[in-house]
Amino acid sequence: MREPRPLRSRAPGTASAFYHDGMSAESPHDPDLSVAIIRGGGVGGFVTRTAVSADSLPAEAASGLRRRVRSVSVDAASAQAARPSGRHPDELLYQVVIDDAGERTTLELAESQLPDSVRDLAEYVDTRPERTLEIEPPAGP
Amino acid sequence: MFGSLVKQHSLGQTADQADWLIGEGILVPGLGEALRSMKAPGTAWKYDTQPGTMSGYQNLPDDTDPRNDNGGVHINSGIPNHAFYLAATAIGGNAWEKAGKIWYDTLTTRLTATSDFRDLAEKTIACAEDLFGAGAETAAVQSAWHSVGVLP
Repeated sequence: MREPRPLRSRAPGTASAFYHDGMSAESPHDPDLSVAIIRGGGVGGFVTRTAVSADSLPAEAASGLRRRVRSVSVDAASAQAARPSGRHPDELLYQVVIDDAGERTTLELAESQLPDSVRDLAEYVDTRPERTLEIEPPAGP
Repeated sequence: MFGSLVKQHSLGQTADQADWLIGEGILVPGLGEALRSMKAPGTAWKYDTQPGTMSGYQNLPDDTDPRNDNGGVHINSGIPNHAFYLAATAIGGNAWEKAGKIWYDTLTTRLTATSDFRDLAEKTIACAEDLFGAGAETAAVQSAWHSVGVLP
């Protein structure tokens, strides 16, 4: 069964997008910060979702997560503007979903376009023992 | 294709003895037995949506949504994979001796980065004829591409 995709708005024809949806937090117990890294394409073609919530982390790690999210927010607009027009065929694609105090930010970039801040955030989420890792269905009928 | 041929060669299997699975055992058992099945695309694991024929082709956008698989390259590859399986089993014997040679020669000397499914079909048929003449091998390759719907 496919899980519902995040709500989003997107200009037609854009190759990637950085946008806010202003959706409310999913749970009153998790109002602060959560990050999900969805990857697809690449060699195997799997779609994976790695996620972590600040409220599952020790205080120091939660601060580390927030610091990295802040760096991504600062970097994202310039990363979008500076991204190369072409992509490497069949490369790994990233969708970064940040839910922060009721506001959702979604960033989509290809592996070759990742700014250091996004790579650092993804690596941090990947290495937290509190993370969840799921395999999602790909697009299709 | 070539991964499966290496496996078949190492096990000494003929085309009809092979399992035609890619990445067998790579997944935890709850997810499925392999990444892909060239014999039966769409059946290898829990979220395997590969079509085996053009009637199931998924026309996905080539965008940065990771769920769209760079335009469906890992999804729609079930179609040419299945054509190779059909050709190899129709030719019979060791798949690396004839079908494998036809596909390898085609991929390395006759296709470009912008080649599409139809190019692959037409070039493998031409290659089969060049390598083995206008006999059973060429007919098997032609029939495989017709069966998966790439050629009418």
